[in-house]
Amino acid sequence: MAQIETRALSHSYLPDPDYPADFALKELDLNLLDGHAYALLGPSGCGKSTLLGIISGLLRPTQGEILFDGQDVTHLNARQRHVAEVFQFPVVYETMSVFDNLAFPLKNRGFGREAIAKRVAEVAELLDLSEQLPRKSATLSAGARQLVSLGRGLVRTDVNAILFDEPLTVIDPQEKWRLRTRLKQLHRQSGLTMIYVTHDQTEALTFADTVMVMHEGRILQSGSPSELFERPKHKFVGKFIGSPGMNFLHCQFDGNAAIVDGQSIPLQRPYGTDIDGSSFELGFRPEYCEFSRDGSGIAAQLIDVDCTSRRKIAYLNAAGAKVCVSLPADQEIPADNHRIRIDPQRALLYAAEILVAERP
Amino acid sequence: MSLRIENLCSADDGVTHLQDISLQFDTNSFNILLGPARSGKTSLLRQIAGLDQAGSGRMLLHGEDITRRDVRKRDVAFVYQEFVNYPTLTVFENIASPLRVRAQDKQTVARKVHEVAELLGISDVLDRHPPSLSGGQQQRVAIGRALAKDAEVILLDEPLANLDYKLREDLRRELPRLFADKGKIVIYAASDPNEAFLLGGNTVVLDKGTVRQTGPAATIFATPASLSVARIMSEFPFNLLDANVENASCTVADTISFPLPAHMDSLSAGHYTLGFRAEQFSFAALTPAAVACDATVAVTEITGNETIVHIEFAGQSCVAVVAGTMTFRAGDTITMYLDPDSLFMFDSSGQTVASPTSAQS
Repeated sequence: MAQIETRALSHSYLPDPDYPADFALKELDLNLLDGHAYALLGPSGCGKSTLLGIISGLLRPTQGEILFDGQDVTHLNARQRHVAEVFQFPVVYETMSVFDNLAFPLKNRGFGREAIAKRVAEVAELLDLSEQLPRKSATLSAGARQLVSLGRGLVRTDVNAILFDEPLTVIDPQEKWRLRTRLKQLHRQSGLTMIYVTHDQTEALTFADTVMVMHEGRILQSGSPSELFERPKHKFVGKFIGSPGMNFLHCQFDGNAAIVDGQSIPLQRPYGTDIDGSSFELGFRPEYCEFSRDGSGIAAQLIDVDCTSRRKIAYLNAAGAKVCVSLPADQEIPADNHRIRIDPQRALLYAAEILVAERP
Repeated sequence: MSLRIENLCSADDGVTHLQDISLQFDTNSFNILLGPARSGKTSLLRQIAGLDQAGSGRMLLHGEDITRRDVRKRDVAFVYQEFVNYPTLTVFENIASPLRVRAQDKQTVARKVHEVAELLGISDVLDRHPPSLSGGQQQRVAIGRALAKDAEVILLDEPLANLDYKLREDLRRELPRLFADKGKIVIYAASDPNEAFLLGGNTVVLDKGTVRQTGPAATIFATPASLSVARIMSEFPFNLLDANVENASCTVADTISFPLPAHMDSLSAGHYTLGFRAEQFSFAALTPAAVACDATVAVTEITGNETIVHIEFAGQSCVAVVAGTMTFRAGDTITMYLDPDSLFMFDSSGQTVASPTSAQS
């Protein structure tokens, strides 16, 4: 088990990096707490896999250091760091039984028969694989094979952390559920530090205590799932988290209310007086606005409506931008004269794409 | 005008892939083949494309038997889950390739490629090569080739599965519009029930190589013909409890008991399986008939504005989804409520014997 820190860490895939754009990972100081579950979330190319590779020891960073429990491990390889890794595709020996798959790393290290049997039984119990031990791996579902892959990393008793790189990509939606819950239980039972890389917000938010949203080589925000949903610190985070993402409308700000399209939305929060006066935007979630039924609110043109089993998503043009309104499936959308009412309690003010913080 | 499939069967090495499939797809329709992995979606698409040969049964396009027609002579375009493009050709040449095969003149090729690129928002990358593009752009190129081919039948095999989910959202909204009113038969394989809703088409639920139900997504959702359909059509894991019906009341494993709601009136006494969706659990009694369920929390997952609570109830693992952020600890005992009017009932063979009427509006 380990606390993982990075100091002034950065990485470039180019031989002579110079400009910030040359770096896949920009200068990063991280402190990952022992026993915590983290997710690195971002679109492809954001640097999340680069960061994971550096933590696991597959990649040597261009600059900076990485520490496990205060020890510099920057120059240690993956094996020496004692991290277990799970990749997109399960890594199992198909012709071997589950037992032999789990025993393999121990046999290689010269463990005795009894020690192997004991340890394999423990890990199988933890992963709910006890009944599958005699089975040939080839007969298992993709999800079970992914658990065997994980088990092969876990049988070593000196594991510092478990790293997951998009582990549910090739798993069926139905089975994804079971495996995700299993991983979460495993975290609770094992107390191991876990780092989970994904581009899927649902996986990140449901798995992790702390989600780090990455974009263009930087961590834009690190927080609990509800912090990221309720108070995105950056416009990108607001858009990336949530389906659909947060709405943004240009607005003026008078120190108290946001003015959108001539309408005043009283934010009534203790904002400082020294806020930069340019390019204000009002951010609000599709879940935190609704169709006004009394003629108030911002005028909008309805473009179209998507229906899922539980929600209706209305797409509109309002105040020169696209706006989504999410409403329960059983609620009607007014026939015409559409107006949107924004919940002032849940709306947030952004200046130059950054959340304007209230005074404490 | 339509594509008709009659009693199609296929198997190899003794493994059955498709079993007695009969379906009809009309011109100008967007159809979803919905099913879990290995349910036969890809097998069926490959049969329609002519990539695999049917064991028995027939396929008719506008009444003409195409069952044994060579793949190259079928008017079909196929978009795969993996982004399949010619890596050494530019985006322009990739999209142009089906037009070149038909030896169209230079101006026509250029005009059509630009039209398609415009439609897909990739006009600015026509000179680049696919490997240098994002996944979303690469899949657009593959879709562009299918559009340029102008085939009558367009087959899409989970084309969005390998995309980042924000790109997936964008492209999913565009897809039905791209093919609308162009005289095409679009068949789209999916494993996520929300895709069936969002793509708005006719849905065919496949399971173990068999068609289980066909119809609009919302209808199948409200009135699944069987337990397997209810499960496939459910966004969250579908909850199941063993139930006993006797003397006009329903009892679940000595934990809850309630008078039979109106839609279960006709059930005779016996053993059944009670089924309901995660969103049917609530933290408050929403109707006078609501039944209190004391459950133990196993795992809590927060998705932002919703909480998914995995619970142990009546000896079964169940899932509840509720609005807001709930912070339960594993082992906590909580009380949740179920409205009997919202429950499904299945018989021992898994056939639906009662669907909630509220869901059928």
